[in-house]
Amino acid sequence: MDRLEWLIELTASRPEDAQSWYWLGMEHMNQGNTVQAISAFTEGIKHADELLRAQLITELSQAAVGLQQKSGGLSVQVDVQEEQEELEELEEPEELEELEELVEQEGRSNGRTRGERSERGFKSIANPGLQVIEGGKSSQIPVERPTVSFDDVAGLKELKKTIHMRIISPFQNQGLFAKFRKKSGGGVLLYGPPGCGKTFIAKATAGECRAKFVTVHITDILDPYIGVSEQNLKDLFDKARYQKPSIMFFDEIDAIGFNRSKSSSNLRALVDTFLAEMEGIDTSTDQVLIIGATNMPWDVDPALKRPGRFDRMIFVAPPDEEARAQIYELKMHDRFAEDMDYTRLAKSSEFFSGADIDSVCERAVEIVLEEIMNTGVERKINMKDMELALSKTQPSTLEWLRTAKNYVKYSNQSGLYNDIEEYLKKYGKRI
Amino acid sequence: MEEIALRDQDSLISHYMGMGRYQQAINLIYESLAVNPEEGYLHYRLGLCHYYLDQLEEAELQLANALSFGFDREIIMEVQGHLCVEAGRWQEAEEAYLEVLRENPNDASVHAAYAYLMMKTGHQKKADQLLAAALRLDPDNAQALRYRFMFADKTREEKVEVLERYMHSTDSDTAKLIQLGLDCLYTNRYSRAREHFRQAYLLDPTNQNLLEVMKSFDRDFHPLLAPLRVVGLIGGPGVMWVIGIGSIMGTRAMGWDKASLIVGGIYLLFVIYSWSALGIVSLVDKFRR
Amino acid sequence: MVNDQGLYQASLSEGKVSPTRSYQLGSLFYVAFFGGVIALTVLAVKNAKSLQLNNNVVRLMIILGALVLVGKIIFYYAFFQDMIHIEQRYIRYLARAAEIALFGGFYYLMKDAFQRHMLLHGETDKLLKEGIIWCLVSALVEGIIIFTLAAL
Repeated sequence: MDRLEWLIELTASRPEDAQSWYWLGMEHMNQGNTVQAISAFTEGIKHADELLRAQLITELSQAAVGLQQKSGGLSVQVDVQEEQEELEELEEPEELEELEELVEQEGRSNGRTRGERSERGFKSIANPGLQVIEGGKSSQIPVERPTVSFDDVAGLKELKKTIHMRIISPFQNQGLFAKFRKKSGGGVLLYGPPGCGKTFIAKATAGECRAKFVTVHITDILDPYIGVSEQNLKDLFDKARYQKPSIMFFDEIDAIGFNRSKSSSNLRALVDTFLAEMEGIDTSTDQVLIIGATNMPWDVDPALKRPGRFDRMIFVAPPDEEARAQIYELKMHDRFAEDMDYTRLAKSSEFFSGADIDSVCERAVEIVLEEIMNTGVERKINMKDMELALSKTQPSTLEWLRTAKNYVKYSNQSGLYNDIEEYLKKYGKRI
Repeated sequence: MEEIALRDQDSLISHYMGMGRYQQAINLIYESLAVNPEEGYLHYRLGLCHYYLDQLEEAELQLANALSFGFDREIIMEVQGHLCVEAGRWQEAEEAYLEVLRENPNDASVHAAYAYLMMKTGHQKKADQLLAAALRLDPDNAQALRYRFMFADKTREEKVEVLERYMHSTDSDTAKLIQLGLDCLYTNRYSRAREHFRQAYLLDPTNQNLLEVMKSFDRDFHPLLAPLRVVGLIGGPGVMWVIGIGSIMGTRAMGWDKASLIVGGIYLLFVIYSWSALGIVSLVDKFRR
Repeated sequence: MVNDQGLYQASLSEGKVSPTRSYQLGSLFYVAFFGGVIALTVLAVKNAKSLQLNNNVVRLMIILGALVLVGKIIFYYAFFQDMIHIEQRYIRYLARAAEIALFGGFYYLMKDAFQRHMLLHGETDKLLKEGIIWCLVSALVEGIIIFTLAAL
């Protein structure tokens, strides 16, 4: 007799034992039987004491999330805390029955294919406000809750402070900021050289805000048929609004919001749609924050950088010395290496991006491996290898910084690029 | 790659090429080629991207591949012609353009391109006729209008009329701003020229040619070069020399020897300054940096 | 005039490629100042031909150069024959002024073609070596002429 069968017999013989139902539910979860797990947890809640009840509710919420993810159409990871709170309010047996009905419905429909489900659409009985939003490509875009936070971002104290003040605090203290009529949605544009962590910082920001995070790339929108790209973009915005509070992250936003004076009529239509969707996003109650990231802020249509759209532009500089030291440490910590002076390495790698530091570490490894192959003598990576690798690597951010330096020189009358101007004042002589 | 994925990839390639992101387009084209190595259209696009990146050898190789895989010869030969003009292979360029015109005698753009080739090689009369033919075929052809404006021997009023038509054409904003800048430059309206070139540069800050133009404007508009700008305004060094020598001779003729000495001294200082000003400006900039 | 058939015939075979060339026009000023009429006219006419200017324009330039040279000779003759009473250095100044004016005329005739050349090719030929040679030749020839006039 296996464990599952034994647990089924146990719960059959002792139906008032919440603990048995809990174990049964966990075993079903381990075996991927989500519906049965939900059923078990639900039974357990009826008989559990306060402590066990909380545990059961947590497991039930996660099982429900897993079940929703398997269903067609909307693919969303619901806020676990929210679900817990809702379930804790379920005191009446009738409400539990509703949930069981939901589970039964899911059980009946489990045999259907994803395509069929999406044709039928899906409406939750427990939460009738939820609805499926179909949207071609947009339906395949994952929505996640990032697990990274600012603690995972090395260095960049000033940037984190800026983001905290301008993005996270308004998002988390909407009541307070509303008193001063400071917006908590709207658009933020992160720009900077490639490989400096714009995407990572956007994820960390979403993690700090504890909002849903929708990543959008041009490949998720573009379609060869006329009008479909624009519709895909619109659907994505609708999806984000229904899942508020949410953060939409547009990676390589210059490819979507390309300057219309440089583009063909096909591209312009997409930009027009983008502008229309962003209109008023900072004043609406949708609690949708749009974060864009780009290596080429000069290619973004100027209309997108106006108030009401991406009016907050934040420069993500190459990692500072502290960040670089931490990145070196991170990249080298599980390698066969001696103790290193990461501070010294960081000092010698000004303007290096995270990707450049990775390249240095890989180069150092290659140097050592080559030597080992030739000599047959195994040894650890040491500081000399790192310094040799460093001497052969050029920072990839320099070209971008030079372009930016010239660009800012001729164009910063509006003050949009004050961030980078400050940075260039400090470091510009060495670029 | 499934058909849908290939179609999406193609759409993405078009998107990046439309934005002028040729290197990114190249990466995507290679992905598609991994699935469809004998797709002539992909090789053609690859050739086009390399051409726009000034990688002429690679471009030529890919165009040859496209031809061998059966892509439209006429389209390839047009690009081949442009490529040969860039490389200075005039005869080959002419052969390519003539081949396209034999197949499609109504192609205004190729007429304009051929006209440009004729101008480059010293056949101005033929160039003028080809441009006229291009504009007969398509009065709003951006390329033809641009060449007409830049190179045709016209009065100022006629040039302005051509420029106005050109500004309504489908050419890119960057190209239009450059034309406006050139027009202002050659009519000695330097600050307006600088502003036009600045706007063009802001549209494409990775364009090294435009950056060099801006830097040369910075040099020419340097405060220390103000006296030279005045000389330019009054008609150039020749006029300045006439004024200088005339003033010295005039004061001598009037019997004002002291005044003549003073004028001569000032003039000599000015001459020395005009010869050494650029060097002084470079030193000052270096010191400031 | 190229007829319609000729429009679609190859024009670049057998080495019929002759792109325009030019010196930096402003540099001819120094030839005018230091070299004199002969140097200026020779180099300016050469430049005009390289710019493929109309033959009539080239002829006009030759005529203007000849006129200034003749005028200079007449003026020097008149001076040496005491027909005009001014200091000798003023003769030199006037000659220089005439040469610079001649340069101005040549500049005006060539500037549009020069502009077109720069737009098409973006580069100029170096004038220094040829300029020095022709300045010396011009100075020698004019020197001989003036010496001969003085000796008459």
